[in-house]
Amino acid sequence: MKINHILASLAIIGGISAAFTNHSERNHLYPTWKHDKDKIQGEKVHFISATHLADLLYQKEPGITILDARDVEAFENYHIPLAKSYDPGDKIPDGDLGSPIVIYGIENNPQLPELSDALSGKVYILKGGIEAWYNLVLFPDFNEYQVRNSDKLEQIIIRSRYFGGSPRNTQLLNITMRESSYREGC
Amino acid sequence: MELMAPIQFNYQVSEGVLLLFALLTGIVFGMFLEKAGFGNARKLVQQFYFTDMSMFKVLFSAIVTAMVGIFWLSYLGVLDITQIYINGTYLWPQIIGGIVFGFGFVICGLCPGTSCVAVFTGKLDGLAVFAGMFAGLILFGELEPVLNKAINYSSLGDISLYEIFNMNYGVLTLLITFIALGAFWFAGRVEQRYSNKMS
Repeated sequence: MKINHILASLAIIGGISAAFTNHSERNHLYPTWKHDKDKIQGEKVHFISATHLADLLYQKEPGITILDARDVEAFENYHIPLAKSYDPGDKIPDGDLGSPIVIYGIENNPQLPELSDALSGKVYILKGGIEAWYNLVLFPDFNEYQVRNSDKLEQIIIRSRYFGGSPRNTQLLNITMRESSYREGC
Repeated sequence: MELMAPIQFNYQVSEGVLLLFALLTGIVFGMFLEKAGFGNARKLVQQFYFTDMSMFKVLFSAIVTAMVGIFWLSYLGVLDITQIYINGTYLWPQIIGGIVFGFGFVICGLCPGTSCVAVFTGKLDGLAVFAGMFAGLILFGELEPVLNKAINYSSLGDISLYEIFNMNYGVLTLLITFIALGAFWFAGRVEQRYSNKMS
């Protein structure tokens, strides 16, 4: 068998299995399978990024339950819009069963994987916790954020203002955009 | 520690380290291009006479490898697909640019990447193309504020094929894989036929 045939076969296998895999495109909720042995002994956990969650809320995607696993004081101080305070002992309302559940706490909260495991249905942990929500959605810093085209810049600013935040270092935007036009190649 | 690509979005990586990655990738890319003979305008231009379709096959292989690779890496959680930069679609500028590029490619026998390889193997034609490319870049950079409105007029944003055709991502991956394999087979046939004619 020639190497060409082997590579072609691999491509066909990859393509066919892709067609039968339920992996939705970037604009929808999608699972990211992670293995983090320290925290969860090889259990599979789904993550969702803060920006992705923000986009879903902005688009008013129906049926997402958001649970805040921090203490009540922190919850009352600030929480992600539509989030409900959640204590591990709480029961999830029946109506929410089966729909995607996003759970968050502070960054790297070791209890979260356990909590998500205890809940049934599609459970996603907010990657980076409430800090990611602050840093990437509410107060994105254009000094650090490597934004690469104007569509995304606008999206980031709109999202930040929509959730009541404000982007930092917006005066750097022109520089960022100018540099970005040289990033493409053959 | 979770390891997830692309690293610049998920970890605090300094610009210097990122540039180092870019340099290493560039060196390896250039080495393979040269090794495959793509620093030679005579070889590249043969694809327009249908006698050597290797460049076409290499580029299509890269597309399929990247497409299937991105699909599976993101499915397995190694790559955060939402953070991948998608080159925006500017319909008319890209059609015009494509035509100009095509003419340039046939006339010079080199494209931007291969012209860089040609320069570093000491080819004068490579140097001319390289200089022309940079002159064009600077000219565009200077004219961009004036042309901005015209460029953005037909901007469709950073869309993907599955969004245009409203298709399942996996099915589209399969479809393009088949198109690529069909194209390889066809290119092989064409190559054989025209090589026989020439000899």
